[in-house]
Amino acid sequence: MALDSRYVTAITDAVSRGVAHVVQAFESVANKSDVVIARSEGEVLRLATSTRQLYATYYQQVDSGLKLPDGDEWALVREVTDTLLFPQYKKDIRFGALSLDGVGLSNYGTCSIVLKEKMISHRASVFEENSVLFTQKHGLGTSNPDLPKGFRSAWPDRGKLCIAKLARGIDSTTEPAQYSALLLKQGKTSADDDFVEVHIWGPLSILSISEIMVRAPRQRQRMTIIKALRAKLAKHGVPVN
Amino acid sequence: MNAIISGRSRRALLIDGQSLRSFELDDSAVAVSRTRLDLPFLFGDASDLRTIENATAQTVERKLREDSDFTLALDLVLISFDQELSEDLRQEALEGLAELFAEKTILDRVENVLYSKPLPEDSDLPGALSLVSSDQTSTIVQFLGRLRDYQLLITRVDQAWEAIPKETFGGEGNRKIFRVAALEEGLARTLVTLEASASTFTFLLKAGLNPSIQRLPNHRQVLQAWIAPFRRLREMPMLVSDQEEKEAFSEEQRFARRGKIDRRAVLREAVKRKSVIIEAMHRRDLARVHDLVDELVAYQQTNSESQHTAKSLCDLAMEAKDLGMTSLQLSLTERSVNIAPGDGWSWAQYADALLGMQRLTEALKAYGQAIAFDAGVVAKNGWAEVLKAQGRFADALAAFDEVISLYPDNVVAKSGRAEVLKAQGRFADALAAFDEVISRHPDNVVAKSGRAEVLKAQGRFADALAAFDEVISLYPDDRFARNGRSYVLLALHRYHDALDALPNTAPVDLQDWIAQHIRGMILLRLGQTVDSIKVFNYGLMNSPFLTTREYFRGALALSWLRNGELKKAEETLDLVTLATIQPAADVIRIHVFGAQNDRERAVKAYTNLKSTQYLLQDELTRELHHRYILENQPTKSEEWVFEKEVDMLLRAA
Repeated sequence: MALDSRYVTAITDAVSRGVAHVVQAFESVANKSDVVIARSEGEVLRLATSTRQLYATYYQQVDSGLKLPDGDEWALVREVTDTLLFPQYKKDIRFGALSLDGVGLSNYGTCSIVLKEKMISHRASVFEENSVLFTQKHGLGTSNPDLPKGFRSAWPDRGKLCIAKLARGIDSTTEPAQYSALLLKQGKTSADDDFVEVHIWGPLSILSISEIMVRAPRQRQRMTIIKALRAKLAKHGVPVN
Repeated sequence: MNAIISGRSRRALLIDGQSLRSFELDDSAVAVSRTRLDLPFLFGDASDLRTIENATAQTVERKLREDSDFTLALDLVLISFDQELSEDLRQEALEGLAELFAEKTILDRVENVLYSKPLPEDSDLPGALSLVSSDQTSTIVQFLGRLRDYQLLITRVDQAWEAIPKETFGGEGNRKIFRVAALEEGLARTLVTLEASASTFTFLLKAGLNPSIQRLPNHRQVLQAWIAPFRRLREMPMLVSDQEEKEAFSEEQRFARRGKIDRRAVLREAVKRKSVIIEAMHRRDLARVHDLVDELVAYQQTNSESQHTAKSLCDLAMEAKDLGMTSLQLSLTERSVNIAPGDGWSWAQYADALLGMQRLTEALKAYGQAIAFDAGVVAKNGWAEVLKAQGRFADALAAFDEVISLYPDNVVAKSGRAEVLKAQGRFADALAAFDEVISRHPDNVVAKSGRAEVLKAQGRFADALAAFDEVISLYPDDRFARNGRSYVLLALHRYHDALDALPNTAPVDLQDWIAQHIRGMILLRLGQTVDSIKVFNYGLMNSPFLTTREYFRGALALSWLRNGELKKAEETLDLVTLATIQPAADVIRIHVFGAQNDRERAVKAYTNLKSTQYLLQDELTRELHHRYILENQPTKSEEWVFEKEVDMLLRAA
């Protein structure tokens, strides 16, 4: 198994560097990591109210079903659209990131949705990094479609994948307080983010959420949305922190 | 440069040849270079993406801010309508909304969305309205009021849209694209609000010239199909009745061929024009109605006397009244009074419109004018009706008595008098009064139904049922009697029989809305409180008839009470204004205030009942008095109290 091989190599390297105990400590924490999806507060409100006719009726009205205009200027974007990367490809797959502190990639929104493990463990897999950047780095495409092995794991093996990817960055000075930033590094832009990507098949609902972490928005009215979210989710036992 | 923006994710993608950059609304100074591989992740799950062509970065930023504020405003509206949320939060949402609406574009765009679909049943627009200040000039009050008033038209425009065959668009994909464009251009809103802007023809013209619409396949056919229900000729009622023929003849005689004007031809033309206007009223094409009325007035003012113009306007106003178009009724009669200020009939019709809108002081004044200008018995009966509506029952009784002394055979006055006696709780006198009318006018269905209503108000439901059955056997199509019978069946717990007798179509006229009220009461009694709340809320928001809205309000308060939501029950009761339902509302207030340990207000509600002695003696009132004013242990169960409270509303309905 390619992932096992990478894992053994990482552990062997850790042993040789005398940091096996630190790496193992990190692995046990990574095994308990959560999947977090970052979104704007408006998107989370939409998710939290999807069963209410009041919200669903009007949200449905503003779904744009984007259609790109004709013209060469749009060719680049259209190419992406045509390869189903944008936005329809997300129809069945949701993307998240592993997190130890419940905070997701802030480049994608101020709200971090922490998902319940029992609701996703049977339909989630874990990937080395941002899969699009990975594809780019490895020159993958229609002419070279074979994904290198050992960079993806089932949900229960996520700790193993984290070690395979991150063990080399761990040394004797690495403290538990640094584990979070090791697993998920917030970049200035999404291109600079470094994280372990999670692919979840199928829809998410309010029942899939374990908690929401929010970063207070600047605009006062957006705070009202957060308060509404808090009230809505409280009824489902989901805390907003 | 081109761009894709999403107000929901507050992010824009700038596309300039092969160069891709993105920026965040909160940090627009920082544009990050992107590759096409980033694109899938830029906008999260946002589904409000839109494209902007040939724009500068500043324009894109401005449009992104506008989209973001629009999205935010829509969220705030929905929060303000959400009865699951606290009032504080809903109020905060409305305050935030007021700030966003300072930008008119945001208000317009939110209305474009809200006017595209009728409010779902789980939305609480009345609740939102009750949370805003009473300042009628505030943007939010006007916004919510408009939305409430237009619900019926929004439903019709939406139904007309849904009825357009998919093939007209050229397939489902094109239909979706058309829907998005129609929403962005506010076509549904324009169609709904035609009264203030243009006729259906002008709508077609404007929409057809809109470049965003023009580029859509089959746009002309789609627009034509959309407005078809608003143009289609209804089967016209017989517009020229025997009575009108007689009136026409007498008018022709009065104004026979003066000068060179052919009076007969003018009258024929006026009748013809009125029928076209009435047809436009039936399809609620208010803009067309106003245009046609302008033309009719101009025509009659040129070719006839002012009182003829006024009469035409009053005829149209009566038609508007029957259709529940109270604002139109008022505007037509107002115009009639302005054209013929010395015409008593115009004043009487104007007063009737004011009475219908519960503008009682003005109505009384207008009836006074009508009487002064010799409008006769109609105005005098109207005067008494206003007194009754004001709750001045003794004065109303005296006024009807005066009419009867002058016109001993006037059935309207006699029935009106009997109604006042009923409102006073003098049921035996009311029955005797109706019996007297019936003995002298055996075919009078109003008196017969009125008598049955008295029996209902007394709680003699079996007798009331027999009385309604008798009326219906003689007049099978009398919907007033049919609804009265359904109320009684409900009171007798014969729910299925009551339901069977109700229409299954969407409510349009007064009796339809009353049927809707009955439906809600059945649900309430069956324990389906949440559903009953939806029905009553819907009626409160959508019924064009002010009196039925008051009955919906009373029933809604009882539903909240049944649901244990005392504060909501209290606030709903606070808004009840109709004199004839006020006593029943006071009885329920004793319960609502008492249950909140607000003895002082419970006592006040109880004291209000002193003018309706029969309610003071009612066993429900006595139990509530015993519990909440004397502060003794209950002698009856909660179920018993609820049953009696429902009965009380049924008796008052």
